[in-house]
Amino acid sequence: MILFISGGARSGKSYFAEQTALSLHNKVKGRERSLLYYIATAKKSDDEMVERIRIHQQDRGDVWKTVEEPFDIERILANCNKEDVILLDCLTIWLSNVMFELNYSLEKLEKVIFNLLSLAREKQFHLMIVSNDVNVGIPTSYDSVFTYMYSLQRIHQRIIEQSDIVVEVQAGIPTYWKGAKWL
Amino acid sequence: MQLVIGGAFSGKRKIVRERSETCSWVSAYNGNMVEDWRTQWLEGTTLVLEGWEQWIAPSLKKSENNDDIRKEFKALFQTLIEEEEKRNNKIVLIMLDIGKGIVPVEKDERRIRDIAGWIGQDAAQLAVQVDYVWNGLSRRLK
Repeated sequence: MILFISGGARSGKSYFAEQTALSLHNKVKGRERSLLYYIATAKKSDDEMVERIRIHQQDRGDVWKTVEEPFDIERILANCNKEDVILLDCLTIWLSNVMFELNYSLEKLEKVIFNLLSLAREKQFHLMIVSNDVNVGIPTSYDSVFTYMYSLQRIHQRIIEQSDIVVEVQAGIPTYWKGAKWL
Repeated sequence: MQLVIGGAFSGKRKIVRERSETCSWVSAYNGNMVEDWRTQWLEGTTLVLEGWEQWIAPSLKKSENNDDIRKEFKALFQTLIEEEEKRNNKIVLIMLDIGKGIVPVEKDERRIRDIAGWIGQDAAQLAVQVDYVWNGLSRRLK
């Protein structure tokens, strides 16, 4: 199953995603072997980030297997198995990593996203992708921000087309745009 | 008159295209002025108008009063609705949701953002159907 969760900053999207991943994991682990992965895309860039990461890890407890990977998500997913639950948080940080540090083109981005979604289908694990809606402010005059926003919207739409469940979180409250029946 | 509103690159045009077979586009992004609708609207087609935040910008110089600008746009919506009834064709307004980010530092940007919000409310009030577009999906609000 593929799940897409988005919302504004501090909207409660990560918490909602973690709870949903946990309950999905608890549901499947009774009948199948299932591992619960957390893919963290943020880099430990400074002390503040180190502290934020520490708090997040502490909150999640030890049920989770945390994998830190700023760039190559495909490599991680290639090692996941049927019924594993994988939470990717968050797409916006991964996008800025690969766009601004590895100079990924839109074509390359769409190909990578296509591969991630295909892996989820083929290997039948549960992939949950968390992202942020950054396109509802005043239009930017910076080219790099404009391209980033455009690319993010494009990959959101590619992911949503293939998602079973699509959720927007506002003030901690989920609105189902797709697939409420699954949960 | 219908209103389709949503964030940048959220798939608003795609949704309009899926609904109407043939459209006459009046787009600020292609250099059109809003008044071009009179000449661009072809017989038997749906008129689509987009780029309102860009059409608001020149009115800022004409008037210091945001409310006067808002009224001008409201009058335009009313004219459009009358013409729509006369022709018996549809009109779709596409508007960009720009009100959810941080308050802009520049005064003119704040004015554009405020007026865009107000004309969005006016358009929604006059429209028979309003849809919000989010990441390629849409939800009917009215």
